[in-house]
Amino acid sequence: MFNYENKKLIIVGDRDGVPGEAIKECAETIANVEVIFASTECFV
Amino acid sequence: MDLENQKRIKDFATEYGPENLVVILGAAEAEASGLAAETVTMGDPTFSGVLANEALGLTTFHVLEDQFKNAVNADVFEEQVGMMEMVLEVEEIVEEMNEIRGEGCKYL
Repeated sequence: MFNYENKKLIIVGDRDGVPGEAIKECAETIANVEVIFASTECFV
Repeated sequence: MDLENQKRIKDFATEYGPENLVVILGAAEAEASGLAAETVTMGDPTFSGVLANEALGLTTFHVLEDQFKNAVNADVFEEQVGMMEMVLEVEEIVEEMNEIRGEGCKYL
């Protein structure tokens, strides 16, 4: 399993897939990580 | 990948060090996931952003991959992502992400 300890997370969500805010909500449940950026792109 | 996001990611890599960053993707399709993953590992394949010819080698996962899913709170994941997990082609996305990581990630 990947060790997220002290990692900085960059979240690139997708309007038609999983939005950035939803990924951020999940990511913030990991201990000792920091979400430094979250966005929702439109890949179309 | 969005040109502004490419610039942000390049700046973050400079500020925090590429080995400390993890990029989590939420793209709807395997192809889009692969393009975004390639952009932050081997460089922008469309040569349109600042990450063209810039092999940052960042660690990257798709939100539906076990490396992310199993690391987060299961209830929150189900609430936030559960529905899309049923709709999207998870196997195709995982296969694509594994291929790109195998070629381009420097910090795994």
